Amino acid sequence: MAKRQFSDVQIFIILTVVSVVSAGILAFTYNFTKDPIEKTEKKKKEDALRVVLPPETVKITPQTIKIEGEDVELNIGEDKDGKVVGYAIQTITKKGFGGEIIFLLGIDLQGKITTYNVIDHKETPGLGDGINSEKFKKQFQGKNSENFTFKVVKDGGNVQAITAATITSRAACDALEKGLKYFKAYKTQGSQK
Amino acid sequence: MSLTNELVKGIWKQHPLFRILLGMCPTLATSTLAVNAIGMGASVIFVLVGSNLVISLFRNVIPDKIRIPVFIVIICTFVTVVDLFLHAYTPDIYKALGIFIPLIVVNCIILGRAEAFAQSNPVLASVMDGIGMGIGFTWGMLMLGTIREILGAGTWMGMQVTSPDFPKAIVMLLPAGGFITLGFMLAGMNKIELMQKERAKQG
Repeated sequence: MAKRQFSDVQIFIILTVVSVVSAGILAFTYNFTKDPIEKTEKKKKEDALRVVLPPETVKITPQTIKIEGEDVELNIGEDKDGKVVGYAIQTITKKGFGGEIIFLLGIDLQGKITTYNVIDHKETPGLGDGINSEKFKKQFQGKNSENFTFKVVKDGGNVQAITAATITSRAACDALEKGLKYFKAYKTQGSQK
Repeated sequence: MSLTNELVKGIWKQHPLFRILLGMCPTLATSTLAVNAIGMGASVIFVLVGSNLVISLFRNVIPDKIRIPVFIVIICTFVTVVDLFLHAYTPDIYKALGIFIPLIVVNCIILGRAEAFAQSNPVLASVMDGIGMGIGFTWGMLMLGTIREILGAGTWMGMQVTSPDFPKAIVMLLPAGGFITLGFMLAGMNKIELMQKERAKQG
């Protein structure tokens, strides 16, 4: 295919022009979509929080607290009278079958688990993603580290592991127990103040 | 070479997935659910038509020496635009397709069509080529997604289609299932073509 010959200067100019035009288009699109993206991200976060906080929650106040040198994200749910009705703690485990699993753990005023929401995971579809199932979630309801051992039955605990996904189940135990620990630390920190 | 020809070739004769075997990586990774095929297909059609159009429009002023960087910049721009818009307006699809939207940049179908077609053909033909290849990619993805979702999860487009007692073949949702399905699709396409050739001989 015979094409026109270009001098080096021309090549330089053409590539520059292409890049500048491209950058312009991208800048425009970025500005145009910036607000909607922020809104979607915020809504996504809020939707996730609403699942684990009690239904009467009206206001959610996010807080970052330091526990054992770690930054922990704690969200306080308040009802319309400004009374605290529940907490949501983000807890992460690295022990999943596919790496990190991020949980949002709902805790009631008594420090017991209400439910949890898996924000992000890379577990095997059809096996490990059973941590999302109601059946698995339900057994943690109303539990704390006093009345429940956060280990799978095989390891001498109270947790019925997901069939063929023991590693994932162990990871869930790890994360939830850690979440409760964070909450306890938060409570003692709070009472010292 | 008519325009219809340019359109139709991508849908069957030069099918990007089952004939030229381009863009396998995102294909196998995102074809676990039928609905992903629609999102991925629409994105690829948009990028492919856009990049084919622009590249063909400027084909005479893009120096041969730097054509690849220029193509990549053009393709990247389109992909990033798609990525931002999906993120802003369809967060669910954005989450499902994740990293594979930005990876359309390195999807060989796009660069392949720029190199093999758009840089040496007129604008309208290039657009037709883009649409045809895009449709081909989409129906290919849809076939793979449908087979894998029904066998692997018992659902189609998120709806339950098999009885809950029907055993689910989880392997179909894993990478291996992608290769298996692709293999059967390729065999099927070859068989149909062989039969067509036979018939042509006899006819």
